[in-house]
Amino acid sequence: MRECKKCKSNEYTNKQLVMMINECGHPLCKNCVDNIFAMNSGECHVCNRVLRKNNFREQIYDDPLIDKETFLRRKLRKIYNLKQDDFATLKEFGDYQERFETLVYNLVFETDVMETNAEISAFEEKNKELIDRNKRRLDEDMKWIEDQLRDERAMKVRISEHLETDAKEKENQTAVTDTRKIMDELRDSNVAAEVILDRERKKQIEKELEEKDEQEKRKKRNKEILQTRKRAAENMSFNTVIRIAGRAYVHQPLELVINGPPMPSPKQIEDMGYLAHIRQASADLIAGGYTSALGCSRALFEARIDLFSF
Amino acid sequence: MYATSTQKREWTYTPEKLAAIRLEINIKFRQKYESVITPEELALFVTPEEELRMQRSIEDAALKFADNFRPHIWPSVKWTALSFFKRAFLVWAPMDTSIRMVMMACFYLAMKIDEFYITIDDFVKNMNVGDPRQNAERILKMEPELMKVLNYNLTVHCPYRPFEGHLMDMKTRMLLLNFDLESIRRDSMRFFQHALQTDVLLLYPPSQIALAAINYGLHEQGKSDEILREFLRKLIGIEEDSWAARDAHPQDLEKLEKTVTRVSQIMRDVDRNYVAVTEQERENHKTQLASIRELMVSLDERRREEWVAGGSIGPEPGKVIEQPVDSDDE
Repeated sequence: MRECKKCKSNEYTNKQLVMMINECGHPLCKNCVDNIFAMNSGECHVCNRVLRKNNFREQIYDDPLIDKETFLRRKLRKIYNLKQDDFATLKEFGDYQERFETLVYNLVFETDVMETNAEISAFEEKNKELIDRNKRRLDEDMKWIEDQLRDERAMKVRISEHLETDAKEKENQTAVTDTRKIMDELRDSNVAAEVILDRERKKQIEKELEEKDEQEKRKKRNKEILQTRKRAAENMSFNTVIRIAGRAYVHQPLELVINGPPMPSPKQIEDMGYLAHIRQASADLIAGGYTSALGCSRALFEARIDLFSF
Repeated sequence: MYATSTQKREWTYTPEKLAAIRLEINIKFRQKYESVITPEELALFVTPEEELRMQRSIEDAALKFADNFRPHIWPSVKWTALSFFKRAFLVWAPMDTSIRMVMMACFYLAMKIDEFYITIDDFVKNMNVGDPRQNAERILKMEPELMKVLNYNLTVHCPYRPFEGHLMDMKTRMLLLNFDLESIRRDSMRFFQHALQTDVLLLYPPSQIALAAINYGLHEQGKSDEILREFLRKLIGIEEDSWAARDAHPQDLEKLEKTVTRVSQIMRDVDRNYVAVTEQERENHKTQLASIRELMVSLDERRREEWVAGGSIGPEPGKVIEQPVDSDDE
């Protein structure tokens, strides 16, 4: 559970809790940040490092360490952005990547920070041109993603064009036939032209109204969907399972309808001497879980079941 | 558990219903060949009663087969097999199939159901008619059809375990009997053997049949119904000659009387309906069956011709439309 170490507010006491984190990796809630860093800079409440308010960012991962790591990684990536073809051999590229990992590790766990930072600035100095060039260059993955996005966009455009032309054609068709029909009617029938035109106008108005109605409905529906989604998102919980409470289970022992004389209880079977009249179970049968009382009660049960069924 | 079984729900009838079903099957069968049969040939077709008698003679032979079967089978296999057999002919017309083969398939299936495992090769070794390989083939082909006809209701509740239960109850509760109860066992088993050749297993719950067997055994030992009454009184918990108890639970006494009546009814049923099949009768049935078999072949041929002459409309008569029995598609 997320909890602000400073003010002790947590997700339960504050539903809109937002945790913030700075370079040093000690999380604070947004309220505390606003209070402590009202002057734009202040000390970390844990390690007393001087921090700036605009270096605070929202904490994404529960573990501040991971959050710190991803943040540092993203920052370092801007400097260490060399691609494989900047190196002569694959081994060199591997070494470079390994070095990068070591640097991240150092920074995250704050070992030899000074030296690490010095190394980073040295590297930046040394490879300035390469870095600048690579900033504009895309690597293979990025290229692939771009391609995919482009394709998708093109597809969307194609589909919408297609739909548009379809709709247009349809409209044209109905319009044409309608006008032709009206012309024919005007020419052939002996009803007054005004009446016909009036009727057609009426029809058109009706149609328009209908369309309007439908549009409004659609809008309303979309709005509703959005709202329900929003509501669901607000109420969504990632910690507890929502239980649908029904009626509680009440155990009722099964009733065995024998429809015959009552069965003797296991104790009675033993006491009344039933077992004298059945073959004694051998050792290996007993080992298998069988007892002569078991066989006895089975025979007695089968002798009773439905004896009084007439 | 019998009370919730398909045996009780689907395969237990009243005598009238049983007769009605058999008559209906017979009439349907006759109607099938009505258009092509000559009056002389019609005389060969048997009545439901004769059909039943034929079944009995097959059953008799089957019981002998079962008793001579090696390895020895346990009695519940017999009961299961004959139950299958009787059930099957409440769906099939006996003249439409080879009764003997159906019986063998019933036995083979019953052995599987009753966990008396035996391979088909060992099984056909026990048959003394026909070529073993052909027999095996026919039985294996018949088996799924049989299961389908039985609607896959394969569990049969036999009266042998209830019989042991009753006997155990008697030995435990009737301490004042002055004779060995085990002596009735031989007669009771004979009763079961007779009962197998009647419709009793389609009419009554196994616990009642078992009690009837006990009572039969007691009668054979020269005892009266009084022992049965005494036993039931103890089982139900009615105190002897206690008017107070009698008034308190009038339904208990009613149960007792009804059970006694039912037991004697079963005994009477078995006694009346079990008629041993004579050698003469068996021979007659054999020739009759053979002639019917021949007739059926020509009748089917005639029916086909009629169908062709009528322009081959509809499904070909006598052709079975294969339907997948076991499919995962559904």
